[in-house]
Amino acid sequence: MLVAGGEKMTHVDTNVITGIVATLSQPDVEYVHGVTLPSLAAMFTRLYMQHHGVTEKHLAMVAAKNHANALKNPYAHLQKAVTIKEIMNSVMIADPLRLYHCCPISDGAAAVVLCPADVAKKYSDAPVRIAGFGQATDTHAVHEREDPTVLKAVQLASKQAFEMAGLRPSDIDVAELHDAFAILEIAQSEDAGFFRKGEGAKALEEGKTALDGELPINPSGGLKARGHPIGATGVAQIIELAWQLRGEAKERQVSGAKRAYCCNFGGFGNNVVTHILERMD
Amino acid sequence: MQLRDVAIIGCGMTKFGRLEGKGLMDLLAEASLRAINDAGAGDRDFDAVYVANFAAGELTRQSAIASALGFEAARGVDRQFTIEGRFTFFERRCIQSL
Repeated sequence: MLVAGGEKMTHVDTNVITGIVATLSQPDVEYVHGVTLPSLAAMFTRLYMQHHGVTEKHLAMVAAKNHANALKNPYAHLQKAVTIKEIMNSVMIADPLRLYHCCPISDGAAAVVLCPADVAKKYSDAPVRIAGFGQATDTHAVHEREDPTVLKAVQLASKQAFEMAGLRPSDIDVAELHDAFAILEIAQSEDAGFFRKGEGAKALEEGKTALDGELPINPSGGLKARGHPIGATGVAQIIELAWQLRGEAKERQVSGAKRAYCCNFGGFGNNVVTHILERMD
Repeated sequence: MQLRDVAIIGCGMTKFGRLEGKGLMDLLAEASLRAINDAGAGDRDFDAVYVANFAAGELTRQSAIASALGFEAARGVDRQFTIEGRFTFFERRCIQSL
């Protein structure tokens, strides 16, 4: 079975793309009022800052980390080191989100071949087993959620995947999260169960999510720097983790990675798909 | 429901970025052929092709891309692995556009 994803976007004007992407917001209570994804993410970020002590510097730290990781990924769109200061002085997109807090518009495609696990070794020296997966939806309009800073679909889909795999978040060695905007990496790292709510920024500060930390997040550079050709992103996340588990991630290899977690995030968290992958030894 | 245990045996992707001169189907075919090649499965039948995409209808005026990819990947696999003398998918597209 072949699973491919792709998007061709960069030939279209940024304003037009932003308008098309905005159509995934709730039509009656979000889209009609002119909501775009950056503006929605900006409001989410502001609320998160107020409720969970996240600062602009934390957002910049996510972006700087992911840019640094992408420098080691030859497939990444943005291969450029960016300092915290440059990020914090970059142009404002939607207060408090600045340019470097947002993913770029990219072209690209990614594909995987799947087969029954019992014959996988005929094709691959290092097959990667899908140990668990989950999928969940949330209330479409973000402001109608009980607590808009909680990504409930990430919580539910993650719980399903961990239950199916018979694993806990502490068993995971490396993760790819959907950091279309910097705040989402912090929020998902909490709602997936890796850190308690409100403690994701602290974990980031302590270097736990860095390439050499206890749970490296987005070794590929994430959506932030690997790029975000929308249809390709989910498959590309899985590929990065498969490479990590196969020990083929070269300069960005997380040493000894055996189990990986992936969160793909549709809309603004209204449809989330998670996977747990495991090296077959 | 009893689910079958499934493994990933091949991975392939294009570079991400501003890829001028490459269309959506070029990108999907390139990534797919790399994945099929990585799995060493070029001479095998595939029972399903799934394609993820957000807005090709609006962005590139193309829909039904899963069907299109099945066709292109089959052609590309033929060219790479088994049958000589067939059109590559790039050549075929040129011919179609004449």
